Amino acid sequence: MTHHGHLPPRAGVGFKPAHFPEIVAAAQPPAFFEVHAENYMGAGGPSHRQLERLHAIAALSVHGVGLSIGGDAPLDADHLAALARLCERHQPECFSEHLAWSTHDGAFFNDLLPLPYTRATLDRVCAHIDQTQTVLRRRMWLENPATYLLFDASEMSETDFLRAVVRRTGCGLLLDINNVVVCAANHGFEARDYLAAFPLDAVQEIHLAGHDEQRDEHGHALLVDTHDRPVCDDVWRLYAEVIATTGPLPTLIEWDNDVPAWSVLARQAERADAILLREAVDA
Amino acid sequence: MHNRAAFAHALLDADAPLPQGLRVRVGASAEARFAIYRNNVVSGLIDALAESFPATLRIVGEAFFRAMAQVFVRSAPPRSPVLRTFAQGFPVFLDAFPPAQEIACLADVARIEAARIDAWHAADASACTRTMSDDVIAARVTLHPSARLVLSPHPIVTIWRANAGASDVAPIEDWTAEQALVFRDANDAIQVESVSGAVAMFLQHLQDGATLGEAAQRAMAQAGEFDLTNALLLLIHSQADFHADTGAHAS
Repeated sequence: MTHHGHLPPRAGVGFKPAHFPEIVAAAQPPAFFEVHAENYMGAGGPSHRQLERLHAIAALSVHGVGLSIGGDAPLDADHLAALARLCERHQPECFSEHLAWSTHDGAFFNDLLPLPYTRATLDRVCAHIDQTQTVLRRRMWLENPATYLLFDASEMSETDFLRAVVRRTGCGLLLDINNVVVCAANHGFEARDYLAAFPLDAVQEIHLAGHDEQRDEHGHALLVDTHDRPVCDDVWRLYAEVIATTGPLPTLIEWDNDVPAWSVLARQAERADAILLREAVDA
Repeated sequence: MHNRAAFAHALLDADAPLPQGLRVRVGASAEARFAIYRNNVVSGLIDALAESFPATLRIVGEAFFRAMAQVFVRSAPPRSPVLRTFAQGFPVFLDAFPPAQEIACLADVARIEAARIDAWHAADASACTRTMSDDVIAARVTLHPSARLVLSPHPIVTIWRANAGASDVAPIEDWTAEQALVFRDANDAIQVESVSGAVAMFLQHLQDGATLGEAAQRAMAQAGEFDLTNALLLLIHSQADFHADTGAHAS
């Protein structure tokens, strides 16, 4: 595999074009930017030029939301080729995708849909990751999902499933701590138990985001992964605990909807950086 | 193996039965949980269309737009994870969507908005040749990869401009056909220029490989009035590439 640089173990932010002028004027921009791959699949134009400018001042992470790694059918060869062209063009420090499906029978649903954790699913997910890593000529990171439903057919836990994927494909993991908190509330488990079972040694990057808390018809809390607000205190606490175990890791603040002013987003990144710095000093 | 096809089908069809084999450990029913996915998918795609077609939305209003977009999303979901390709199909859908027929210009205004998205992501021009010899009339012209012509029998540029917030909405005194050239200029701004029928013909002849002189002559013959100076300024503003007539370049 081609050798690539690494994301620094610092805070990064999801890039929004509205923030571009302030980012390039900032005295200290975040250490890395993450972009959704599918927004940069045009042949040319200003969006690619912005990405080049960003990559000149910070590391770059390409995060796919449409590969449908958990899809029943073979991966979309055209889409995989487009991902390869994007990685070839911008040479990002990493590429990540989700443990989810988003395409079925040619229709793209624009959402990260849940999988039953079975041996058959495991075989398919591993084959798709092998193929992706071969075509992109790099290791990828796989992200744990936010889910609202479970399946009767599941034969293993999500953490066992991810551990098996890592063992078989050699991929890294992207640990989304907000997704853990969302799933814990929605499926009635302790987030700390999940994290204790998570293969932390395979984690290459962390995601932090905000979620919406709703009440279902029985009055139970229902958390929805909305990426539309600051990271909540529960997630910050768990994050500090994880970092205390793993040491500093590249950490992304994701804020995709109701995007705030740059200063608000930058402050969230500073908060993550403060935790990372403290851990680096303590270590 | 759970039924992925049933899951996928029920995402788009609110009346479809819930897929088998779903489990909920705490709280509400599987129906309520599945509804989150349904909403993410359908509302998410409608939101994406609303963001892509702000002028179209303003013309028909939020409620009508979302109802119309919902029919499009359910009947013709995206075929690619690159959603801007999904947006390109929306004007075609509006052409054939009976409730939208009341507003004759709607699909063409949507075409301008689709062309603007397309222009933003279009290829950059290959290194500009502009090897202009003395014989300008014999030059051939390649339009910039972002340039898109939108033809219409309606004053679509005036209507688009008024509803894109670029100017005040005012009654249109003179309801005449307008053709739009959508392109990315040298400062990466997306421009929508109203061009006459003659200029639109001129641009089409250039695209078909005619020399400047040939295209101008044909446009003049077909339309009568044709302002070559303005047409040339438009070509320069829209980053067209002029090259000497080698006979080899006809795109």
